[in-house]
Amino acid sequence: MWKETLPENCPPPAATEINQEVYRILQFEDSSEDDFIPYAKLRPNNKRYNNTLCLAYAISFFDTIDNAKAAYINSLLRGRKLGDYIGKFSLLNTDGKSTYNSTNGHISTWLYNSWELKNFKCLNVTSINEN
Amino acid sequence: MRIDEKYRLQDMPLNLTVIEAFDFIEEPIFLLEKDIIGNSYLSYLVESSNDVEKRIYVQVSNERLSSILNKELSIRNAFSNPENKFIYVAEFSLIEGDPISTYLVPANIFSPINPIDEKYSVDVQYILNKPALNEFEILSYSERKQKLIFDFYLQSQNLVNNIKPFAIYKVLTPIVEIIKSLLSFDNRNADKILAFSNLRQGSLGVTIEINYSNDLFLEKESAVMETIIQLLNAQEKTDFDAIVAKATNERYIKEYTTIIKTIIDNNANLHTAYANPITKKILTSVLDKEKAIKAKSILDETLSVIEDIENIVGTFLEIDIDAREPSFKIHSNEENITIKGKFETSILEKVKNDFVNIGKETYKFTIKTIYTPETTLKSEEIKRFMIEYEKQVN
Repeated sequence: MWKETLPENCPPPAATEINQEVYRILQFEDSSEDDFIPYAKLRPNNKRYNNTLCLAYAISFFDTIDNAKAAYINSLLRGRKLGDYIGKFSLLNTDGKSTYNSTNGHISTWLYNSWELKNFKCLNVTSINEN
Repeated sequence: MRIDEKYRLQDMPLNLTVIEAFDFIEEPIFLLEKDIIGNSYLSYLVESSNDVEKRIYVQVSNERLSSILNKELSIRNAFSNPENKFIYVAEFSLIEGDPISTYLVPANIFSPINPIDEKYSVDVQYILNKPALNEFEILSYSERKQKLIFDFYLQSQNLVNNIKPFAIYKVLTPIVEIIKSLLSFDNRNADKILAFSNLRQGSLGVTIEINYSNDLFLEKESAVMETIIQLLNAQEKTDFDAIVAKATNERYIKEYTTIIKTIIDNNANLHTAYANPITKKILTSVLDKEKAIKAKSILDETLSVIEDIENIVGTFLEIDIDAREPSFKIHSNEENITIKGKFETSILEKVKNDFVNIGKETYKFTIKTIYTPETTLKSEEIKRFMIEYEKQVN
């Protein structure tokens, strides 16, 4: 059912299917599969976060471009550059299940196995430095 | 954030496990972690690169954690004013998750360089003392006790403010009876083999500790606990067939039927987990109303009548030999309960000829129990027959 092998009880019961335009920080102007690899899969041998931490298996999106930029800046302050572009996508209820934090506009999405990049519509891309 | 080398520790003294992410945006920012004896630590991501992360740690009591999550105390303040006056600063490899360096910094040194923004906060609904223990907590408890742990919690709308009798008598007691039945021990040895701990109100949560074989390998109890989780997960006829083939008696089916009926009647969810300290294995099950209905329909179709034969040591309380169906009432010394039933015709002559001493002499009774589960047409039925008895010599 899920694109990744998830820990037990993951995603949480509060996760729901949503239809919404969302923003994601991208490495390059053209989004690739590499932009949609969850934290846990990027570090498969990291015993602190693998197999148990559900959120490490989710993909981060934001409800607005401003919230995406805020996350980019906070991450930069910690020494990590998340990417150079922000892509706008149309997240559909067939893509997966998500939780939403209204305080910072962050959306964690656990993708379904049926999710494919070729079907994930990128509506536009902007360079972070241009804004 | 640079820390004076004089605060550097030779090794990371804490063996921490990440329990919950309170803030995870592309990377783990604010976490709840626990050490092996269950102390809680909050950790905050200070720096990160592709290979290394630097985190600050503050140990927190449950009361302090509650204040932070309820926003009575800011996260920055919690790190500036730690309860035990120290902050750990630790670097971890992001490749393996191993600690690279650790510093133990006094709060008065750390406070001026605290990197957490004053406005930083998180919106979480984390329940302290949750009735459901997580897998880490169960396994770590099992390892500390060096016992098999069977943890369960029963969740129902009826159990929000207090624990109702059905939770005790129709779920907890049947679970214990299933363990006793499959491990073949009775109440005389129950105190040596079983112990209850971690009692949690707000739904009912109980940890049952099991040490049956009293050896290092816990082989028999491991097999039985795996069977119980199999039973609670059973959803197909083949699942039940596999369990019946393994078990030495069928008494557990009656107890299991009581549990699934209770789950259906109370629209409850029964979460169970078994942890083995030797194999580090954890098995879990969640039995909800939907699964219980499915399991019940299979049992109704396939196991129409269950027979069980057990030996009970006790005394006669009543004998009615002249009735159309001669009956008895006995008291079990081991279970401290009264059992009623009928004499099987094959021992009627023996009963008539023996000078049975009611209420005084101790006998070993062999009782056959015939259990007919409830169906859509009739309610459940339990019939007991005495098929043999033997006077015990003191």
